[in-house]
Amino acid sequence: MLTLKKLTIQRGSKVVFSNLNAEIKTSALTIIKGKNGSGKSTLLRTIAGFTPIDEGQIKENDDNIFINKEQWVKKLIFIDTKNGLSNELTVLENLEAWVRIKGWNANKDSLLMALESVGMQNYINLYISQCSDGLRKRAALARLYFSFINKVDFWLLDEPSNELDDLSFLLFEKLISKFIKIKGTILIASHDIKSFNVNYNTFDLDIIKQLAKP
Amino acid sequence: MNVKNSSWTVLFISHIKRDVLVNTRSLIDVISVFGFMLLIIILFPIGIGPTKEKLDIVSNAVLWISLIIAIIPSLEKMLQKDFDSGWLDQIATSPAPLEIILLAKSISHWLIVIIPLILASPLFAILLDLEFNQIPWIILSMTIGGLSISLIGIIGAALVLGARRGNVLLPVLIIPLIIPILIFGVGINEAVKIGNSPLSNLFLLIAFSLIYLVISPFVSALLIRIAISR
Amino acid sequence: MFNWLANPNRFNRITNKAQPFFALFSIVTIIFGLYFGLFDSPKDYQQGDAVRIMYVHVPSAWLASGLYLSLAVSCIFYLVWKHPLADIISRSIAPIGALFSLLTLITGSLWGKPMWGTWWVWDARLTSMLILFFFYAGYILLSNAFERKIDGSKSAAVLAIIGVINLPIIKFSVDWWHTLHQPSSILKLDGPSINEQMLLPLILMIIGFSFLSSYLIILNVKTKLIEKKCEALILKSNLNEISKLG
Repeated sequence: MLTLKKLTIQRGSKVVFSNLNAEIKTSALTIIKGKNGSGKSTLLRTIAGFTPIDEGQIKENDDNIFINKEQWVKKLIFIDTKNGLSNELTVLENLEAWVRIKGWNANKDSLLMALESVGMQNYINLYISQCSDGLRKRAALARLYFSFINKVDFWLLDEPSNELDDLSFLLFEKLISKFIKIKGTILIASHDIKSFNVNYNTFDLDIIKQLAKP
Repeated sequence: MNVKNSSWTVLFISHIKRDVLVNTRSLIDVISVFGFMLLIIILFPIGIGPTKEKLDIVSNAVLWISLIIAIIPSLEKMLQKDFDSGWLDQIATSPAPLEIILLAKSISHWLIVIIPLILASPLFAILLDLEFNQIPWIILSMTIGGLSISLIGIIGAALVLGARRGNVLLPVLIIPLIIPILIFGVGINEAVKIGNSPLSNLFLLIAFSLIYLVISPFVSALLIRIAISR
Repeated sequence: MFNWLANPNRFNRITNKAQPFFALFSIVTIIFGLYFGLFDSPKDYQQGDAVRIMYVHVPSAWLASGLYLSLAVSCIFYLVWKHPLADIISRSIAPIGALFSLLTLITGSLWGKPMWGTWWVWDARLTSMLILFFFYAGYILLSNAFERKIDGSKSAAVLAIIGVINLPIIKFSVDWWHTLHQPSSILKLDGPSINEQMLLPLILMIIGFSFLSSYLIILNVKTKLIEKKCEALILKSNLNEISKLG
């Protein structure tokens, strides 16, 4: 269980959350809903350790997740709309660089299998600059495959399915099911939920923020 | 389960490889720095006049100054692309500390931009009519000084990350920091030229390089964490 | 203790009482300092009356350096304790410090002309002061170069701290550079060994400038606090407009 306790986060002069209390189930898929600007991305970025917490805590089973920050970020994969891909590298090279930066083994076989898991096996030598938005998103999502051969507990995905066509979306759902089966936790921020054929919990940020008002 | 976690060294080296790959794909970027330095070095004798006595006095300084000026445009690129693409976010989820990765970035900048210029320095030295015995010292001093410039440069790049007109602002910010390197770098070469020992200048250059080697990763990591949190 | 002081209303109350005193004191000490300096102190046997520029030049240099230190301290407070007043104080100090460094450079130039016949001379102190001016200019430019003010504040704060760490390094290397090139005359924009009559006006001027800059900084801070209030009011009224529509 991931617990948000009295969470207060400011970004600049804007207060995004004030005194937020909530619980998010782990080992499950949770879809975070909310209006534009409600703080979905901020919540994900905070859990990922990018945005500092002003007051309050985020706990996983009673332990503050940032007690040992290096250990925490190691076991999560964060993908947002920017994707983190370099235009000058190919799909394969990008994935390889990413796997290496995570400190994992980047042998050719696992890279190829990862790209296959998102249907990108024919595009491995395409430069990202030549890729459409859908291809780029899939190139980024290929990283998720490595959760099955390394210790990863959390997926934090910000609007992952907007650019996916129907076939890719099915492949994405397959990855989701597989990850949940091995007790992984997935948080997806989306303002537009496509029909997921997987069980998911809904986390309505607007409602939860209303409850936080004194 | 094939789980082999890399040590920081492996991660360090692989990030350098990645940076080199990203930045050398476009050959134009690589050549343009070289061309810029060549331009400045050619303009000086034309402006000053070809007399050996006049050139003699300024040639070491011209060499260093053209190196610094030619490098400045490349400094901002060290971080801006990676920030915009979201790669810095991904780096923040790495098990290796951000400081190590930024050190790798500084070194890859040094390898990509500065080392080629240093290797071309014998050519430049000939254009400026410098003695051959000075060339090894020129290469040595520029190698060490060049690393400091990369280390300072990444701090500058981190300071202006997300700023308006950052590429214009960056030179203003880092010029004060680069001045010691210029002073000692030229000092080494001038000492060799008149037959004195360059060692005092060399040791000072090394000392300051070590200081920057320590503070640069920490300061730039701090700035990047601030940038990521926006 | 600093949280106590940092409440804007309290700050205003305290500084309102202090302000006229600062202003008066600075005017008084500067007048006396100038009197003693310009009229009642000895001529220099070498430099003649020109040495009297020292009474503005040297205190300006002290202020420029001292204000930079306070800028750095204020920036450390801002980065560590994140207090918005610390940022306002930093932004208020910077232009004043920049002006003093500019004043040092100009008076140095004016001093140099009768001394060495040139409007600028690359002596160690002036060169270091020029670099200090660049640090100030860098802080002011960087703090205003971002879309959101707070980004500029944080970035510029780090810059100021880097600057203060680098100042000794730069001072050292400029001194080194100076001795390396062994100028023919000893270019030191100092008076000769200071005697008592020179010391008094010098100290008066330093004190006077200190109070003057404190006064100006307080004015700056208060102005910025008022600006902040205005922005908050505008924001509030905009939000009211939007909620009326929606």
